[in-house]
Amino acid sequence: MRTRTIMTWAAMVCLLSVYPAISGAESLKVHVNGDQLHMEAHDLRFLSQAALSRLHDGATVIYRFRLLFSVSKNGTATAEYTYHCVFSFDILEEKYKVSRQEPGYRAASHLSENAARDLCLDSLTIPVASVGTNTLFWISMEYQMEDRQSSDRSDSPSVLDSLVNIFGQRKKTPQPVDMLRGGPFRMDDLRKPK
Amino acid sequence: MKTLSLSFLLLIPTLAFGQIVPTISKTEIAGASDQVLSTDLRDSMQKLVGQRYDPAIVDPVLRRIESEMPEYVVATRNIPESDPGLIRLVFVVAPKSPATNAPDTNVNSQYIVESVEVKGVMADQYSTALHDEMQNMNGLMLDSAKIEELRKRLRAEPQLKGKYSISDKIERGSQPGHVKVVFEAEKMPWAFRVTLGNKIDLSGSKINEIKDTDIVESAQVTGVPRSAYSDPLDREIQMMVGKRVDHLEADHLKEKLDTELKHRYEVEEKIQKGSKPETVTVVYEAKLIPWIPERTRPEIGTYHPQQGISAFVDGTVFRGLTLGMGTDGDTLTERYKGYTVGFESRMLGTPHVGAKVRFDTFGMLWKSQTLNNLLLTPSLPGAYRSRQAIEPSIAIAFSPTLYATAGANFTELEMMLPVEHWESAHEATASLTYHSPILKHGTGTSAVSSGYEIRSATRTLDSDFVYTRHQWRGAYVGTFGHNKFKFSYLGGRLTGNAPLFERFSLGNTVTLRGWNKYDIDPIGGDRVYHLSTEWSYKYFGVFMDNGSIWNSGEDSTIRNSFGVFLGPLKLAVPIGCSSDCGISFLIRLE
Repeated sequence: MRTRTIMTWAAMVCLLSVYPAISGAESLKVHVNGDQLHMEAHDLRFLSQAALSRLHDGATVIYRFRLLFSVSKNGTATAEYTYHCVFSFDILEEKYKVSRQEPGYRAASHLSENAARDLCLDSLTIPVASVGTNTLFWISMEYQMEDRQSSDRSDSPSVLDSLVNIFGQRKKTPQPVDMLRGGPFRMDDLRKPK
Repeated sequence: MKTLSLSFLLLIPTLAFGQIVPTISKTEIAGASDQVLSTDLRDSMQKLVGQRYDPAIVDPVLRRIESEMPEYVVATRNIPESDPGLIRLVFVVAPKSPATNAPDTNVNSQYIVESVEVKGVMADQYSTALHDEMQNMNGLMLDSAKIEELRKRLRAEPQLKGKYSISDKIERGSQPGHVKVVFEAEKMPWAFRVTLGNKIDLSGSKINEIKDTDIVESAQVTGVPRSAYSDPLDREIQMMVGKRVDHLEADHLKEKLDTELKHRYEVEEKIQKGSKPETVTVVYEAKLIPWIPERTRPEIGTYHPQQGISAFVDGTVFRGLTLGMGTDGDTLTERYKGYTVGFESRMLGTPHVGAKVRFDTFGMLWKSQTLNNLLLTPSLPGAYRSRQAIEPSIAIAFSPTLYATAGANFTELEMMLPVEHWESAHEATASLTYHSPILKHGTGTSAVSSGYEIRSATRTLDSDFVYTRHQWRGAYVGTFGHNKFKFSYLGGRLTGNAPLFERFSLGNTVTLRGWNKYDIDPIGGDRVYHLSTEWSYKYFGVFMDNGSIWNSGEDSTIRNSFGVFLGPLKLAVPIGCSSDCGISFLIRLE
C-alpha cells in the first residue's frame, strides 16, 4: 500500500515536472481585431541572447518577420507579408522600446521585455479580407535578427582580411532563421466570441 | 481560516498574470493640437479613460489618428501616475520626414552624450579628424546613425583595418539624462594566437595561458613614483582587482597611463598568472624613454649587380652591450668585413646625457678600379689591408628631439704600399641632430630630421693624416593614408688629406641608384651633394635621384637616375649614362 502511494506521488511529480515543457511547446495563435488578423505567441522568447546583449549595450536590434499564409499544413504559401520590428533598450530607465517600420510607423516605449515582444508580434497583421471565411488556413512565421555587422562584409576584403577570416575567429555565422507555425484556423471560428 | 483562504484565492489572479493591468486615467495628444482631430475621434480618446490598458482598444484609436493625420507618425506612451494602478496614455505625434522611413528608433536618442571614449587602441592609431568628430558628439543628443558611421570609419582607419574589430556601446552617464559612448577595438586573433577564449603568449618559451574568466589578483604600476599619475587613474587601475580580467579595460588604462605620463615613459602592460589558480596580475611597467637614440651602425642587406651583396647587422645584445658584424661593399669605396663591439648608455642618470665607446676591426677588399685609380693619384693616401678603430663619445640631449655628440675616433690603418706599415687617423668628432616628433594632420603624418657632423684629424691628436670632414644630411617623410612621400638630402665637404674611408661616394643602392660608384668615381670625392625624392603607395613606388661627386678644383658632373620599386626590390635607370650601363636591379633591406 505504501509502495503504491509512493509510486503514485512519484508519477504525479514526474508529470508535473514534464508539464511545463509540454505546455511550453509554443505554437502560433491568431486573433481577429477589426479588419486585421493579429499574431500571438506569448511565451515565444524570440529575442536571442545575442540580441539582448546588444540591446543592453544600447544598440538598436531589428527583427525581420515573414508571415506565410497557406491553405494546407505543408503547402506552398499563397500570400506573404514582411515586417520589421525595431527594438531598443533604455539604458537609464531599463525599459524597452519597440517600433514597427511598415506598413506604418508605430512605436511604444517603457515596456518590459515581454510586453515589447508581445507588442511586436501583435503588430504583425494579415488583412482579414485576404482570408476566406470558411476555408482552413495555416500561418508560418519566420523570424530572424538582422545583422548590423553584415554591412561590414560588403567592404572589399584585402588578402590579409581574408587570411584573418580563414585562420582567425572572424567567421560570421549568418543569423539563424527560426519559424513558428500555427493552424488550422478558420475565419468563422476566429470571429466567434469566446 | 476562511479569511486566509479567501485572501489566498484573491491572490491567485494576481499571481497568474504576474502584474496588475493599469487603468487609463487620462488621454492626451503630444506633438500637435488635439483640435486638428475630429470630434468623434476626440470622443473615442476620452472613452478610453477609465478602461484597463489593452492594445486591442488603444490600437484602433491610434490608427484613426494616423488616418486623420497622414503627414504624422503616431506612437503611444504610458506614463505612470502617482497611483500605481493608473497610467496617463499619451499619443505622441511627430511630422513625417524623409528620415521617418528609417527613424532613429533607438530609445536612447533622447539622452545627451556625456563622453565618447575609444578603448583598445591608442589615440595615435587613428586620425585626429576622427577623434575630433567623435568628441563633437559631446553635449548633443545621442545619434545612433552617427555612432554607426563613426564606428565604420574607425574600423576603416589604415592602422586598424583588418587588424581590429570595432564595436560600440552606450553606458550610463554620471549625470541624469546623460550617456557615455564607448567604441571598443578588439585585436583580431592571428592564426597562431587564440582559440576558445584563451590568450597564448608566444613571445616567450613558456606558453602562458590567460583565460577571460581569470580574476585579477593585483594591479600595479612599476617604474614611476605614485605621484607621477593621478589618483582617479590609480583608483581605476585598482578597480580591476577582484574582477574578471578585461583585456580591453587593461589596454584602455595603459593608454590613459601613457597619456598621463606625457609619453615620457614607455609603458608595457603585462598580464601574468597570479599566485593562486585562475588568478592573474596586471602590471604596467613604465620605463623612461631615453632622449638619445641608439647610435649603432645602420643595419643593411643589399644587392647591387656591380657591387655584390652586403649584409651588416648591429644592435644592443644585452644591457647596453652592442655587437655588429657583416660585410659592407655598399656604403664606402672600400668593402669592409669584420665586427664591431661597443658599450652604450643612453641615460647616464638623466635622459640628457649618454655615452658610448665602440671598437671596430675590419679587413678590406678593393675593386681593381679603385686600386688602378689610386696608382694614378699619388696625392691620395693609398689602400689599406685592415683598419681598427676605437671611438668614445658622449651625447647631450637638449630635448627629446635635439641632441649633440662630441668624441674622438682613433683609427689605425694597415697600409699596403709601399710596404706594409701602420698609419693613424685620429679625429675629434662632433655632431648635432634633430628628429622632429611625428606630427599628425588629418589622416597623414609628417616627420623631419636633419643633422650635421664634423670630423677633424689633426697632428695634435697624433694623426698621420690631417683633414676636416663636414657632412649635412636630412629628410622629410610624409604619409597621407597609404601614400608616402620622402625627400632627402646629403651634402659633404672634405678638406685636407683624408684616408679613403672618409671620402664621399655616390652610386650604390641608396644614392644615384642605377649608377655604379666605381664607374662614377672609384676613389670617392671630397665634395658631394645628393637629393632624392620618392613617392610610394603601399609597397609600390617611384623615385628620382640627383647628385654629384667631385674633387675640389674640378668641375662637377651632375647625374640623375630614376626608377620604380616594390618593397625592397628596385629597378633603376641612370639618365645620360654613356658607358655600358642600363637598367639595374637592386635590393635594399633596412
